[in-house]
Amino acid sequence: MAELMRGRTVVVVAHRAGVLPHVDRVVEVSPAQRVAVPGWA
Amino acid sequence: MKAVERRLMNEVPLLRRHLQVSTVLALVGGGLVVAQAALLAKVLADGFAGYGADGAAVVVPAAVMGGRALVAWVRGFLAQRAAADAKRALRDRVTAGLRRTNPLRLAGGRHGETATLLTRGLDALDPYIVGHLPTKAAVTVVPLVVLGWMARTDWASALVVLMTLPLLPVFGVLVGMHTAQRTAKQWELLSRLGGHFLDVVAGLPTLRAFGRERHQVGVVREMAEAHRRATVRTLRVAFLSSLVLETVATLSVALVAVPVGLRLLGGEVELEVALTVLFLAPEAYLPLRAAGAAFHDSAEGLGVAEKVFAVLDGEGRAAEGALPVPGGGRVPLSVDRVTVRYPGRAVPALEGVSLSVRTGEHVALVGPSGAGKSTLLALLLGFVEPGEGRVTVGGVDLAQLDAEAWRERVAWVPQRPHLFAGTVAENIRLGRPGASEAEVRAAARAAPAEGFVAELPDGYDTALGESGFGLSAGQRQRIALARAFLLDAPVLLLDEPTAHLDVGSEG
Amino acid sequence: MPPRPHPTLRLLQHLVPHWRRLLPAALAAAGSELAAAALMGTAAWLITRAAEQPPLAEVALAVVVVRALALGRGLLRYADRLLGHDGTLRAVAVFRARVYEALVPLAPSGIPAFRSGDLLTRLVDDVDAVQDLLLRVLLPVAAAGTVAVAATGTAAVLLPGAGLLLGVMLVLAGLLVPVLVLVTSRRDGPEERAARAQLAVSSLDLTRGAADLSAYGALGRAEERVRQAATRIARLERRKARTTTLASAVMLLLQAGATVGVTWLALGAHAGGELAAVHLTVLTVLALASFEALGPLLAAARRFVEVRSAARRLAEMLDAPPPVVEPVVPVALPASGPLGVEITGLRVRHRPGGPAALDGVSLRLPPERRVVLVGESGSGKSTLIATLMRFLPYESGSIRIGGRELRDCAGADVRRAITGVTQDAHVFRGTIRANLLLARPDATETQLREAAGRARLLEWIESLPQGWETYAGGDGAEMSGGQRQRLLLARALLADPLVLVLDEPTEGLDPDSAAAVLADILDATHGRTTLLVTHEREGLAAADEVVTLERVAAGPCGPLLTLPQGEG
Repeated sequence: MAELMRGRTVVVVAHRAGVLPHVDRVVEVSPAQRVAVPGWA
Repeated sequence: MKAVERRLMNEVPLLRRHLQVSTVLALVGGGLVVAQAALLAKVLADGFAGYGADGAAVVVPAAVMGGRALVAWVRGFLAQRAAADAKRALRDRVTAGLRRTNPLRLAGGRHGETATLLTRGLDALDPYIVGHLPTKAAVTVVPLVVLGWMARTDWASALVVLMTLPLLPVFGVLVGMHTAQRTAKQWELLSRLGGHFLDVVAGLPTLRAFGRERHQVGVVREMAEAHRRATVRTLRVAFLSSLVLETVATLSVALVAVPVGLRLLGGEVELEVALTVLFLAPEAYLPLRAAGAAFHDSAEGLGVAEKVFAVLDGEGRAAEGALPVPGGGRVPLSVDRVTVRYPGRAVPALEGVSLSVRTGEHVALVGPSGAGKSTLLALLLGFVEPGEGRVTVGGVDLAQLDAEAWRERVAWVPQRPHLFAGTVAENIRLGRPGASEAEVRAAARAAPAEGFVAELPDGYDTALGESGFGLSAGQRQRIALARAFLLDAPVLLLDEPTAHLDVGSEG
Repeated sequence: MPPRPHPTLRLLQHLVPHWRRLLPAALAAAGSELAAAALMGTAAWLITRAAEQPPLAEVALAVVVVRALALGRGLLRYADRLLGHDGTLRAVAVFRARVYEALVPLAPSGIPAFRSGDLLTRLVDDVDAVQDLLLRVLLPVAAAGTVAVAATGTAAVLLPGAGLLLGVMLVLAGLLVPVLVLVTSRRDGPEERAARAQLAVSSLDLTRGAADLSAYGALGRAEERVRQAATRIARLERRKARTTTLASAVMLLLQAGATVGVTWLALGAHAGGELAAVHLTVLTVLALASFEALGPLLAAARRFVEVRSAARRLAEMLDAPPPVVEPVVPVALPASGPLGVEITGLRVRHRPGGPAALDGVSLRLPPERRVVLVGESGSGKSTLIATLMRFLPYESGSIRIGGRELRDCAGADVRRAITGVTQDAHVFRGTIRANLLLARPDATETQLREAAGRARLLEWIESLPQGWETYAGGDGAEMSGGQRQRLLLARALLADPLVLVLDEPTEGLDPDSAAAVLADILDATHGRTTLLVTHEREGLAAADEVVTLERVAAGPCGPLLTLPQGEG
């Protein structure tokens, strides 16, 4: 999958960080915080 | 004519033509019926009076009856063709109408219903077009023709028929209303009792697992008996309407025949007149009885037509933009204070959310279900429009871009990818049908999907069944990854890509 | 083995014992058609006789008969319909029970129907097709046949030549025309079915796959496929139009021929003094009216075609051999635990001659231990469970439970000892209580509450307005995914088997619910021999042992690797 992601703009969605391939940045989303949250931008 | 029928005529003009042609043919048929009755009566009366058997005299009624057979054949044949053409026209309209529906709603919603509508659903229009419309045409024309000739022949009998004819629809409606109430209440009970067998058979493995299969044998029998009793109770009432209709029709024939017979005794009428009236009387009622039966059968078809119109009237998408994609898609993406509300839900899926992604950046969105992650991907794909705020691609509002051009630059791997009826290679080529075999293999290698594809019976040419039947969830996901790889797009959106995969097994 | 009779005949054989019930309906049906024909015949007699101007007394009887027949016809038809439905539904009730009994040994692995909701629905529809066979084929044929015989007999008595002609025409109409229908339906069948299947598949792709298609710009192509399929169907239906309507036209032509022929013969006989004038009109009217009774035969022929294919499918299904053969003298299993299971070198095929779903699999399930079997979807885990529950036979290898070989034990005994949540576990239309009591009909309230409590379902049940009597809906439609899985778990716990098996108990749940349910399962099964099968690899820390089942593409499973506790 790393090869698939190479050189592209990628947005990955997962329910847990542990199952992800390598990414540059992890953004946490939670239901209570659907409102603009620092760390989202 | 009900509103849905009128609309059907408008939307499918050939149906209106079909009704007109049916009316003309019914007119011709009615004329032939009258001719048959009059000619047979004459032949028999002549024979009775001793004028001998003239071969020619018999040939003419034979020709008329043959003509009736021909007209019946043409009527039926044209009706079947009208049905075939009308269904095809409606199927095309529904397919075009689907394009306007939000694809996510279509895919996630009761998709089975729309697909059924296109196939078995529209077939329910057959009884309406082939049965109801021609009999409706006949009802307006044939009784008039028959009555007309009867009046010319013997106005007293014609009067009896004229007075009893309206009784059929009147009684039909009255009894129909009464029975409809009673049967509606029974409907739920009947469908529950009737559905018991399917429930038990579907759960038979579970029953065996808990050793309860023997016990259910008796229950199946009991439930079927209960179903029978409830059904017969309902039918006792439901069949009353046809009892009334048929009795009125046959009684009327007796009401015509007996007085005419008595008048014959007194020498007031000729045999030929009496026989003509006897042959004609049942023909006056026949179209009404046929129309009654056809009317019941057509109800389902009209229900389907309403569903079709619901699809055609469905919400359209907002006007789409036409700008080209800036920088070929190799640009930053940004979600700017976006709020998304799904219709019918009180709480918005996303509220005032902002996110920006630099060109070439790999960002992960992590969080529990219901947090709006998939909605964000839908936004970026253009499947969902923000209620407030905007999504920009390289600084340009996504809503102003040509949607198809944008999707060419985005590869999406959904959480539950759909595999189509087609070969493995065709599925991988979804985004680029013109890709070469080597490119397909390279994509499969990168997914990686090459391994299990090689083990399939026909390799890349293996036909996948409905929804990718035959492949495991993990294998389906790999094919979806290969699809995305083949598209070679600058933007990649992945939704739970490792849900079914062994994380440690490959790179 | 002698060739089995035609499937439709076999269907009929099941129904023949019920002929007594159907006789009243057949009599009423025949009676109503006879009444209709007799009404016209008597009216014709009345009129012609009256033309000879006899005294009133001569026609008085005929007047009464005409009025009575007019009333009676409608009543007889009503009776015919009611009795017909009643008798038919009785036969259906018995037939359903028979089919159910035949299906028992075939569930879930003996026939493909149990793997597909569509096939199952079609199976049930096919069983109900027996209704059509009786109500819309046999009864109308019986009524038409009675009228044909009566009309021919009457005509023959009046004028033998006319009777012969009428008889021949009626036979032609009654046999030739339905055969025409049968032949044309069969010829158009396969092509049309293929076109409809194509339409079904492409519409499903267009709807279910709308998002994927849209994202990859393939909507246009998919729409085109649907349009092509629709065009193909329209073309076939148009071609068919010529022949389907031909049958009714032929019927009308035969009626014309019979009427005109009979009339001509009668005229000749009357002119020759052999036939009374009264009988002249009666013969003509008989010819006309007898063909009216044959009208329903066309629809009957069409229904027969459908019933025939239903009967064929049913026969195929019921002829399937049960996958597992019960031992002649079963060995008893221990009645109480703790029990362990030893699997060695197991080879299982789904059908004889097919590929091996499991090959050389060994696993040890120690007593009172929870073993989790992990592997990708499709790696054979469910096959293992089905084999353990004696739903599938094993070709070679050994499964020993409590020291007994599994294939020496009776299936029912095995499932008393080994059961739980299977992959196709079903929630029945009924209350929550009824669904739970399935596992143990004599459970006390305490036992029910305990099982629900351990599955963490108790609070939810008690929060519902109708509590335990809440309707669970079709396969748990009224419950959320997580609640449904917990209900299945509670049921399995209530059954309290010596060996508990749980096949994908978190199937279809979102990751958080799955983790919660998994944790509750491992909690609830403490100290009980349990085999848990799942594709999840997280949250298994509480298990006693985690074993991976490797599957190499479409090849057989190799031997298992055992990972020490803590990994996976």
